[in-house]
Amino acid sequence: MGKSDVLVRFKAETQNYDANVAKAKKQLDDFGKANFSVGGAMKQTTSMLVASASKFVGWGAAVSGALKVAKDAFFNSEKNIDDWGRTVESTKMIYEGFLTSINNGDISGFLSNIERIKNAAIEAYNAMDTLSTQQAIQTPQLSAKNTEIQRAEMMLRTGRYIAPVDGRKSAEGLKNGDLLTKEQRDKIAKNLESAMGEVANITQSQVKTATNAIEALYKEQASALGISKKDFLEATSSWENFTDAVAKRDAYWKWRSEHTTYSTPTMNASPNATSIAVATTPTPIYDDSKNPYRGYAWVKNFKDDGEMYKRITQEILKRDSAQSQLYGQFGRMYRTVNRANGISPYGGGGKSGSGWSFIPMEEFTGVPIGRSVTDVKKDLAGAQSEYENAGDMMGRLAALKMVERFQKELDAMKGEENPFAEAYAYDFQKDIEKLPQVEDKKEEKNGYAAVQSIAVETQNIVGSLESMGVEIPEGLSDMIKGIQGVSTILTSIAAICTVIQTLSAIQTARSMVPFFHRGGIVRAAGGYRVPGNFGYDAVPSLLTSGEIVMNRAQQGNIASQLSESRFDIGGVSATSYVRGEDVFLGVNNFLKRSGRGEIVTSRR
Amino acid sequence: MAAGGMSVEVHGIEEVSRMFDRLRTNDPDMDKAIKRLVRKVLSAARGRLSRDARNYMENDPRQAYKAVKYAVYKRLLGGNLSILQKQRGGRGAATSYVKPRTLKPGQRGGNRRPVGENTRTKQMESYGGADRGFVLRFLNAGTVERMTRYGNRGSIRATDWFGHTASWQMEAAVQELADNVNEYINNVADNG
Repeated sequence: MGKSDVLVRFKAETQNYDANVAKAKKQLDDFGKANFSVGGAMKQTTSMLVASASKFVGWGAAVSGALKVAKDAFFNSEKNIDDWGRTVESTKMIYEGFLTSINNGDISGFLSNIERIKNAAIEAYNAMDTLSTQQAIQTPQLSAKNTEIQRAEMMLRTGRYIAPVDGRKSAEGLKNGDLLTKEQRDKIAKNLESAMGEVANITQSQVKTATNAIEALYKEQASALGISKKDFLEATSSWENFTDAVAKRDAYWKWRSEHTTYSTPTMNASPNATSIAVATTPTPIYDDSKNPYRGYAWVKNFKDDGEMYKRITQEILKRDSAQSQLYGQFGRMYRTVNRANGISPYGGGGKSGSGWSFIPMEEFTGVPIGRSVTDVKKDLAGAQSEYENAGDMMGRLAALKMVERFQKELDAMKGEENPFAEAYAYDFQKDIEKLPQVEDKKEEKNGYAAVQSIAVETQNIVGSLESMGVEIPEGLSDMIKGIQGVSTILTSIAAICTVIQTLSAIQTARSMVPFFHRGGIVRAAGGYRVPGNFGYDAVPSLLTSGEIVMNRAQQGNIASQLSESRFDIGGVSATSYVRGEDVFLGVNNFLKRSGRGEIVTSRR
Repeated sequence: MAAGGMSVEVHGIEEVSRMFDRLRTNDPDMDKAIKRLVRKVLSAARGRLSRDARNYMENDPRQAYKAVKYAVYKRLLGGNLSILQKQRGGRGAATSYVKPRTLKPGQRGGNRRPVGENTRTKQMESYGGADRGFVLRFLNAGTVERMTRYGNRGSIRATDWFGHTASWQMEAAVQELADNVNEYINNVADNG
């Protein structure tokens, strides 16, 4: 620049830049032509992931977001956590290196990073798949298949055709509710078996992978708490152990306070007494190494209402929740395997023939839904007792009618237990027989403790259902108690799953029949009033002795009597009253007349 | 269960491809964005250069330091910094006087300059606004000794301050521009 320069200027050279962008674009297009699709059942799921990861074009936040999903999916696999870390690093690298890539027009390194992300995603979903968490992101296809399996099961159970909800027509022209012939049922059973064979596929190694994943979860949580895994497992394997640990924490402090001595305060007074005397603070002296509860030193740092306590309790809850979810999945998988092997809850079994038998709907006719044999037997015994103790002929006749009714009901059941409970009990038994045994005793011990807590929970559920008025079959209660005696984790889990399913089946069946034990107007679902007058009985109801059903006409009579209690005579208004004395006399007279004695009062 | 059940589809290839198209400089949006950034960095450079110019003047009653100018090119991706006289089309550069269209209170009529202006205003307007840059040009290139009938007016020594300062200010501006463009590309990438 010379002395006289009064202007300085610049011009951007864009040719290279544009050429590099074009080159990068071409590389990307080539990359896009590569086929990554492997196909298979999980396609929908992975598409979902990559659809969100499709923003990997947006590099930063989008990639992190998509990979967070992946991280959550394989949170309990150590190996995958490492992969996750590497993936994060590569994401950063992509983010930072992108501009460099653009500048030199070579984005092959960048694309290879995308390849790595893709691989990480695949690994994540494999882990997720192994852990059977598909349910959380169940694909529509799988869901549809499950629905179809359920439909087939229900058809076999009821012996009637159930039309699919998606509007498909039956090839044989069957309509909803039509009775199925034996051939049709055999065909359905065969289809069902093959469908389940497709769904069910589990190997021992995958079980091992999952248990390893749980182990990693333990380790992660223990390290988060700053203690060893052994300590964590010992102290938190159950609520009992945890409470015990807290108690030992208290014992630790108690021992320490009891065994602490204090140094004697000394006076550093000067002999000539001219300086100020100074007293040293007494120092507590204790030996922690002699404390028998020193193993619980890690517990000593928190109080029952402190942050650490909350954290640990939350960790336990989280761990238990994760375990129960996982074990629940196991239970369902084994169940599916058993079914695919032809082990049916409805008798028969094995792979011979169709492998399926069923209870036709006709056999259920007349059996109130959800009513167990025990209930009926109890009622029968009550009626028989009433028959024997009845004071007069009318009473005996009424009791006899009840005896006949209950006997008929019992006959209709053919001595079987509640069909739902019976079915699941059988299933449960078969599950136990077929389940593989866990070899690692330590694993078993850890898992077993968690299962016991689930058993307690189940017991609580049963209790609350009972308090709600749901009748729990006795066999089911025994089954729940039996869980605690089962020897392996997986069998316990299967048992719990069974119990829960049974309970839900009972509850569902119960909820289908409205209760009117507190009276009330019969309404449609959702509490809406049933419009119009059907002229026929369309609402099922369960009643007990002493309850009254009033039809519309009878309700009208009562209503008119109530409204006519105030009436007009020749323009003079009069009101009728019913005195308590009259009621007492009326009732007393009735009792005397019917030979049931009289009302005894304190003053005669 | 894990094996064979996996599928990965790479979506968004077309989106990235389109994004690359948008990043080319012949794209109107990209062109506009870069010009905006050029204006931004040159404006800042002008400010710095202008402040630097004051260091070369003991006093600057006519605010000649304001004469540093910048321009953004219309057809190229670029711009300049200068102390050239701003082109003012259709009018002489020497005066800022504008003929009043109507008489104002206190105005006596005729084509006269309004009375009552203070000294400072006169001082400011005695140079054609944008042309005050000649001071900077004199400082930059120096003047020859000038003799008048009133005496020797002396000369100004050339400092070449513009040459020293403007070039590295421009380099800084270009570097800043590069960063800004990178950031812009980054944003485009982030937002798909």
